[in-house]
Amino acid sequence: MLSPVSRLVDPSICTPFVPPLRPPALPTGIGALDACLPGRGWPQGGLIELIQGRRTQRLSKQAVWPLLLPALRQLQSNDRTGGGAANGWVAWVGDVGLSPFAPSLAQQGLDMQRFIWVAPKADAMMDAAWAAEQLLRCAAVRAVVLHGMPPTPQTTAALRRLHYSAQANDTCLWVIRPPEAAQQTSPAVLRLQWCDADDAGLPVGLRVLKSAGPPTAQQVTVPQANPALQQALQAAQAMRRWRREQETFETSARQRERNNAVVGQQSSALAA
Amino acid sequence: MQWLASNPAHWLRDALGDLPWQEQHPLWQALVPRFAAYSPHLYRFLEDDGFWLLDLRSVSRLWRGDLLKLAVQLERDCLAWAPASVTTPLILGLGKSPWQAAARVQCALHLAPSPGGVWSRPDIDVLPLKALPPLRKALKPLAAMGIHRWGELKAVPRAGVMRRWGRVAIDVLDQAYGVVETPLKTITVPDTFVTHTDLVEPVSDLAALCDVAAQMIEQMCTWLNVRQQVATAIEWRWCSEKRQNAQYADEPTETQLLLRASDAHADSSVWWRLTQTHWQQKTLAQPAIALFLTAIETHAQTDSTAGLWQAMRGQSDETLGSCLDRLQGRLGVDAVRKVVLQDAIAPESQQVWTAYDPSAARTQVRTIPKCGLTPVAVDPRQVTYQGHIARTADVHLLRPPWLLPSPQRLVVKDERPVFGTPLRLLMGPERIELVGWSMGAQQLPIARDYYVAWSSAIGLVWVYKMQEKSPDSGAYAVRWYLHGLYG
Repeated sequence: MLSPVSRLVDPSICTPFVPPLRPPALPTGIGALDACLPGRGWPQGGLIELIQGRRTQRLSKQAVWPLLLPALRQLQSNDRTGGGAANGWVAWVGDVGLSPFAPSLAQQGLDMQRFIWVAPKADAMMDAAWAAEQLLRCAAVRAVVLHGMPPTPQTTAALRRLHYSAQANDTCLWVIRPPEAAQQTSPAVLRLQWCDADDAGLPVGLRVLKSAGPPTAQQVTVPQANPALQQALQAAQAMRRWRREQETFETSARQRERNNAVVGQQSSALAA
Repeated sequence: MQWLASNPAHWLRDALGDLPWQEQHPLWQALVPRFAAYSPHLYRFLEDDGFWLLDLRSVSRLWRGDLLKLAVQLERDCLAWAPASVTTPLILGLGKSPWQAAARVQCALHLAPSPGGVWSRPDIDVLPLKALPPLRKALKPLAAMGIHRWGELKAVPRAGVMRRWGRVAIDVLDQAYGVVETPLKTITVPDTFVTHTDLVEPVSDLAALCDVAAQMIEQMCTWLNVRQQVATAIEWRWCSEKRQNAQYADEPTETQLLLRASDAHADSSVWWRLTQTHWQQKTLAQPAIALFLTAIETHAQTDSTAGLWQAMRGQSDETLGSCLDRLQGRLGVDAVRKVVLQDAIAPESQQVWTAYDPSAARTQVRTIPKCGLTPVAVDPRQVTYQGHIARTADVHLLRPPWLLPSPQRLVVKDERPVFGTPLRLLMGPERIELVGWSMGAQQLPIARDYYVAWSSAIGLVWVYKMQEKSPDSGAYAVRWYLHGLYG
């Protein structure tokens, strides 16, 4: 039986809510990370925050490229507008005091011909946000990586605006923020924070601070280098270990020979 | 109804004031493209009265034969463009011949108390003979005979008209009824676009010029469309009065701003947005009294259709080039960078980040090599060389994605490089020798031994050691440098 209220409402205006069709999540290229993210990948069309760990050095940078390169490669290759080389652009906004090393990135599969680096002045945070918004609105741009946005009263409003731009254009937006930003509220659909690695191991951890779906407290290990470099480092480590063992073996063999010689001399002396 | 007549000299008389009507006048220059946008066949007619004629035969099909609709649209367009000082209504006349169209405009002027709008009446036969200036001398005798209208004269035997008023009268009557073609003088659209606006009072704030600028851009884009051209560079120029004070003797009286676009455009919105972005960053040194706009670089339009689909939800139709032009306008030219890969041995020389160049973006047809050391074309027979190239390419996979602008010297402690904490060398060395033809005979080749190292402070780093001559002692010593980051 219908409730009295539902009788009053015209059925023609009671259309069920249909959420807008969102593009599917973009695989991160890291299986463990995919498993703990809602949709099994980076959510497209929204703000994603990557918050740095506690390192305080000027040049301190977490492994951004190994984390983002697989997704950026996919975005460059899957051109949604069919415009060929004119589309599928990737933009990096922000000056980090270092320059992206193009030969290395190109060899890892990023098309540097469709890569633009926008470097506003270091103190012009709002200029960087404005530039990112303009790029997000451009149909040819598929992904924007914005570096900066420390927690200030203006930042939240700027991030909200960027989030809506990314959402409206179905463009991927990653914002790399300083560690203090973890304490600030954010409109991001996904927030991840790097955890510091210890001296012993190469991989660094990534913790999910905010995401759609049930909370995930687990920490995901992400590589700090590309697979080729990881293999080379493992090989170098194995080689070092083998050399160390070899040296140990040779030293012990020499010691044994020396001991045997001493024992032989002593026994011959006793026999005499 | 295939001809459209108007009298712009009468319409713009308020704006022109006492100035003589000249072809070089900016109002004329701006109005020609506006009319020519509706039909490329624009003619001068009855020059003493300053009539213009549009031949609509070639464009009739585009309007499905509804030329009244075209005329109404042209009227709206002209009224929207007109300067604020123009208060006279615009009169347009339609007719089957140039004489008919012009006669209807004249009828509107003489008959209606406040003429305006599009006139396709009265009928041909009732049009007054006054509207045919070549018959001016014959008007009095014709009036004495009771002949005042075109139809009445047409009813008179042709032989009699010819005998009394000559061949001219018959020719004009035939032209008026569209039996024969009327000889006309063509009006051409200027080859170059330069327009200016004299400001009512000196203006020092550019924001106050926005309306004027938008109108001038609109004029330019109309001119571009009529000429079937697109612009890649425009120039704004502000003129100021020369100040009398001696301290301003060297002060320039003109300020220029050249705007270049990555893509060629005839779209007013694109040029307006680019202008706005640049104007927001600019301040005038002294108040301007006139504003000039010039189309510096124009090219022929090419019929290229980017796509049949509209932009996706929420996205603008703006191209990346236009977007980057605006970014450069606000953030500075050097803030928007693109990489150029180079064949070089030293890692820092393998790439150059240069400011995005709009003109280069237009002509960019070649592709940059994927890897800095890989040449574009290699002889396929050079198998060993290919192998070398493959090996070199693999080497790039082991190199860091970040490079320091210049190598940073590291402190050495107990023969170990230190950056915050002592570095732990994980892989290496990879020797890179920098040998150049320009090196002197006495100079030794520079050899760098690169290592991948681990720093507990900043993670994986790319460092190198090399032997350097001490300037004091002259002895060679090993020095360590930080060159890249794996981040």
